[in-house]
This record gives sequence, C-alpha cells and structure tokens, in this order.
Amino acid sequence: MHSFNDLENRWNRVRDHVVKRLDPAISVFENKLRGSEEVTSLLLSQNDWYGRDRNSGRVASFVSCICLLVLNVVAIPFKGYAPHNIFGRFLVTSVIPRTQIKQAVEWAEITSARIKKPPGSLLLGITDFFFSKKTVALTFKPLIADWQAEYFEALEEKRYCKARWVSVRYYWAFAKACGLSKFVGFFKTLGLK
Amino acid sequence: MVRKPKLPSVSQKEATILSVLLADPSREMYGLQILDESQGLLKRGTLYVTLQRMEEKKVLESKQEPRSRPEVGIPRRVYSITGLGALAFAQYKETHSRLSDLISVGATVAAS
Repeated sequence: MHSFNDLENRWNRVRDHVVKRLDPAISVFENKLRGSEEVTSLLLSQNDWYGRDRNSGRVASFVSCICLLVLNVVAIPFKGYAPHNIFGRFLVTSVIPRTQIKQAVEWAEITSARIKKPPGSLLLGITDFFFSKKTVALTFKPLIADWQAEYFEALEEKRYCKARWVSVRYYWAFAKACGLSKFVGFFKTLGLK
Repeated sequence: MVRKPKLPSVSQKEATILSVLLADPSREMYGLQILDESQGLLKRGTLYVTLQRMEEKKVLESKQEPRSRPEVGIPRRVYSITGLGALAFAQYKETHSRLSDLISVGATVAAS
C-alpha cells in the first residue's frame, strides 16, 4: 500500500513532467502569434513590404489560437488552475469556451495580415542575373512597376481575384518579354536591327 | 544639295505607340496608359521590349516618375515622344498612304 506522501510525490513528478512538455508547446504558439504581430508591424513600416488580409492567414492564426486553447485546457489540472499565459488566465476567469473562441477569432483577425514582397520582386532579381543592366532598367523595371501599380490598385478596391488575374497576366507578359529580349539580343549580336 | 537626315524606320507596333503619344505630345504616359489607349493593338509582353527599342532609336524618351513621398513598389517610368519620333511617324504615315494608294491602283488595274 502506498502512503499518501508517496502518491503526492508521484503526482508531483507526473505534473512536473507534463508541464515541462507542455510549456514549450504553449510558448511556441504564443510566440508565433505575438511574433507574427510584431514582425508584421515592423515590416509594414518598411517601404518595400506590404500587408494584406488573406483567408489562409486567418485560418492559420485561428488554428494557432485553437491549439493554444486546447493546450491550456490540458495544462489546467497540472498547473493548479493557474495557467501563466493570457489564454490560460481567460480560461480561469471565464468558464465558457465560446468566449475564448471569440477572443481567438479576434486575435486571429488581428494577426491575419500576411506580409509579402510586392509581386515581381523575385523575378527582378532573376533578370538582374540573366540580362544587361540596360535591359533590366528599360524593359523589366517598367513592366514590373506597372504590374505592381495595377496589382495594388486592385487590392485597394478589395478585388482580390482581379489582383490575382493581374499577376497571372503579368507573369505571362514577363515570360514573353524575357523571350523577346533574348530574341532581339540575338539579332543585335548578328548586327541586324 | 542638303541631304535629309535619315529617319529611323518604324514598325506597325511602334507606329501605334507613336500615334498614342502624338494624341497629346506634351503629355507623358506610363506603359500601362499606352496599353489602355492602344485599344487592344498592343500586348503587355511586347510593349516594354518595343518601348526599349524605340528609346534606343531615340524616337522616345523616358524618365522615372518623381515621387514626393515613399511608396510601395518600384517607381514607374513615363514616356514622351521626341521630335525625331514625330518626324519618323509622319514619314511612316506618308509611306503607308502611298503604299495603300499603289495597292488600290493595282487592284483596280487587275479588276479591269
């Protein structure tokens, strides 16, 4: 027969073990959410990045929030009903999970701004490698500048499908311009114009 | 005898661009505006390569748009027609009308 002290010691060991395992998982999700918010605001303050709402971002943040909630619920018995993080405190102060989910959704909406480089930034880097500086400056930069202008115009009007369609059209235009530039360059090397 | 300076040759696409720009020679236009005003005669894929070629022929000149405040994205390029461009376009139109006259004369001769 185990004494009461033995049982308590065992329980403490189990509790420490679980808390040790759960804490990093909770902090990962917390940092992910907090970090994404900080990184978003930092990058948005720079000019060559932009933020936009995306459903995928919203879903990802929502999933993170739900994971955090679940982890907190699991952590409650092992932490003597005093979880250390924001969600844990909410769980303790308000019992109804629906409130938590609402909070999670709100948080998800705040952190759903995805930060991206403007379209064509990567392609411009590639053209720097394959084409002369003059061709990049006179052909590809104006093309990508107009692409970005048209893309952002569509985003401002909240026409996301149009923005995607603009990108598709410009990817095609970019490919054509690449081919044509190489073709023209070939004839130039032959001395023909 | 004073020889006329040789004007650069202009293709149909280039002539379309020049005609768009000549609608208001004082106006500077973006590539996208030229595209919109060409009424579907120009395509995105060929426009910018053609504009570069025209700039090399000196029928066009371009500069980066001035920006008063920092904005996202690369600054756009604005194009305007040069005097040489206007002359080249006039020559193109003249040649074009002469050719179409010749073709119509040829067609009537063939019909009779």
